Amino acid sequence: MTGTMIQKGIFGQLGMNEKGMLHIFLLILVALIVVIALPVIVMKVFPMADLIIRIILIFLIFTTVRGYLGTGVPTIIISGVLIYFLVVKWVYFTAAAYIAVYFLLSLQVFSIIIFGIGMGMRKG
Amino acid sequence: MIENLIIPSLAFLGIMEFFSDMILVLKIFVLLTIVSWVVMHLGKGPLAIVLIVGISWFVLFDQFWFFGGVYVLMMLLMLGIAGIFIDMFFVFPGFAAGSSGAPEAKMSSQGGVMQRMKLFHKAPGGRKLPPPM
Repeated sequence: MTGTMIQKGIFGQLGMNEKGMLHIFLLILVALIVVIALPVIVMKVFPMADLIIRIILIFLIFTTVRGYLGTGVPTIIISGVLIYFLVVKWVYFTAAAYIAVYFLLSLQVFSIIIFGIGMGMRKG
Repeated sequence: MIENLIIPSLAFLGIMEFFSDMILVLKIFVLLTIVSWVVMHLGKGPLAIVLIVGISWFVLFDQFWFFGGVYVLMMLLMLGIAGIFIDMFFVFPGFAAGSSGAPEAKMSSQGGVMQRMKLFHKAPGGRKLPPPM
């Protein structure tokens, strides 16, 4: 085994480059979990934020269904079913998914997080 | 033997209930997509209704194991998850190699991609580029 190789559990022998990349991926994973868990923490700490996020989700679901089906009774029925499951029953999951999809993916914020971590770990 | 232990534990934790609810929600979104697509092409006539029923039965009840995954993948790709993979697997090697003093170009230009590839191959342990033809 050379000096630049390390024993890394189930990953086998990794070079220093791969070790650095593993650290970066772990950092990205931690940053992602923190950002996604943020709305859940905010909803737990501030009850008013819980209410506001639920209202935002209801508007979002209704607007989405109306975009597919137009105005009418089926829109209200399907919106009601989706609101029950996503806003009443699994609201923390929905809030986290909303942040992950709309902020991190649609608005490219996740790319900024990756870029920031990469710049922070940069040599030279 | 293992299944006898795992499935009751998952049910106890509410994970099975969560997945069944999310599959129902996913089926509703797939149904909305089918209805919207058929109505956009054929209007709201009887042919459209027959087509909606037929496609919905096939997609939602017969082959959902395939179409559910395809729908999720299509949504993720539409939201730009491919760009994130490009960032992670092509931009990072350039960062790991460090700067060479020259200002960096963006990934969107061919010169920028070549510059990052050269930085990656210069890094310790990086692959050697073949000589130019």
